[in-house]
Amino acid sequence: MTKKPVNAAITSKEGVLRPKSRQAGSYEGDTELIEACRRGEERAMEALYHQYKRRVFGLVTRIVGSSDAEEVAQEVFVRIFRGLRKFRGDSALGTWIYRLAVNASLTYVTKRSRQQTMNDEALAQVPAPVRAASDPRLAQKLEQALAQLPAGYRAILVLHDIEGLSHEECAEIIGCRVGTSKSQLHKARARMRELLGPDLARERRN
Amino acid sequence: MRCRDVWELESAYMDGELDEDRASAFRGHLRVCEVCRERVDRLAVLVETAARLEPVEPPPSLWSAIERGLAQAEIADAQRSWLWLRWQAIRPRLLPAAVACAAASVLVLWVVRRGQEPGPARADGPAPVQAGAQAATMPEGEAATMVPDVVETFEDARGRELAQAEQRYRATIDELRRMVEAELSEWPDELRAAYEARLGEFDMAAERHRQALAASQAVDLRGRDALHAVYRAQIAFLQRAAIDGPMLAQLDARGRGDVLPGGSSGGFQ
Repeated sequence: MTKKPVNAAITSKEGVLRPKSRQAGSYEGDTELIEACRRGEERAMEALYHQYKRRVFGLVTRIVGSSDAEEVAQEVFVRIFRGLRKFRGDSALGTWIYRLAVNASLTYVTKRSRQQTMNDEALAQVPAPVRAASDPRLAQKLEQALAQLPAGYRAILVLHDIEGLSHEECAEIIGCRVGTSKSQLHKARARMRELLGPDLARERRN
Repeated sequence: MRCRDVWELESAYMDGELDEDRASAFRGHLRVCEVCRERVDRLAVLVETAARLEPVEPPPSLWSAIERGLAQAEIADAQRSWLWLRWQAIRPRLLPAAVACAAASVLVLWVVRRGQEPGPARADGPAPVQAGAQAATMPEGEAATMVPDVVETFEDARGRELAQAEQRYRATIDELRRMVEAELSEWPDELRAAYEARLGEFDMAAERHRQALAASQAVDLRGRDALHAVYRAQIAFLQRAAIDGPMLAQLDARGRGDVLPGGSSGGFQ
């Protein structure tokens, strides 16, 4: 990040003028960060990006697959920065960002499946490609098995088991009841156990 | 606890959501059932492995891609009309005003209906009439003895709500007028004259209602409601003028406008 001139009213980057940061130090809490992003301050936007980039990109990658993840993550962040002006703070910023990421990812998967009429075999190729036979690591097998789940199961499993969110948060993000979140996760885990059967048993013995 | 119960509860057990008794029974079953124990162990391995998955690092090019996306969106914004942008800016402020107006309308309706219900019969009085109007026309002491305290408090609240609604309606109208008038010089003369004439009609209608309300001895809730209806119609008209601008005449020509109260065609001719 480039250092900004202290007294400049605006800063210039690649020919585009942006408001200067009103705050010298780091942003205390989401409220300050959101306000600064709403004013279009570049430093705040970068801070928000760095704060959420791994979570958003990880979630998107695991739902849409690595080949399309960058495109969808770009769309998610554009929606975040454009949508912050309408963010009323009814939910936590993180929850709102997750919701945008899940919605964009599921919408993308739905569109893609319509265009390609993907079958299960094709869907399995969507996520990060892993050579299952030659790669013994369970984590990689898990990533691969995740790709074979229906998108809805993938979303709940990523949010709850990988991102570590509670069922209440998952329900708020996905827009369902807490009971539905629990039952979807139960089914998703059971399906994953089926897919990873021998690998899980081997790991358990080890 | 049976195997089938364990299969149903295994996910909740993993998340620590079972109460102590069920969790104890769950563990007890696992101690005696090899099949279920292996099944739940595999689930535990799955959950633990998922929790340990490494975060996915985005490529360095992602931030540049986001900046490009934002730049494209801003270019698209630049092609929007000034009025649309102005409208977006004031829209959030209109929402609280709309909520207050809706609350006031509900309050007025409730009071009107309440006034139409038969009240307690007075031994020496006329047939029951609307409580508020009756209280207002009676000597102060008598009104105070007739109207319970709770009604007086309610009427205070009603007065405040109505005053706020009036204020917010007029603030909204003023804001919209300023928006439209900033662009009015670019409108064709004929259309501008028609706009001003129609706005004059609204102003006159509202003024008539206000004068009638001021002259009324009683609390005229129906008159107040009619005044608010004029305000709402005027706001709808100004919103369309702000958004559609000179296109308003064409829209009306296709029969899409109905903004004037009192059965007028509402056309912006």
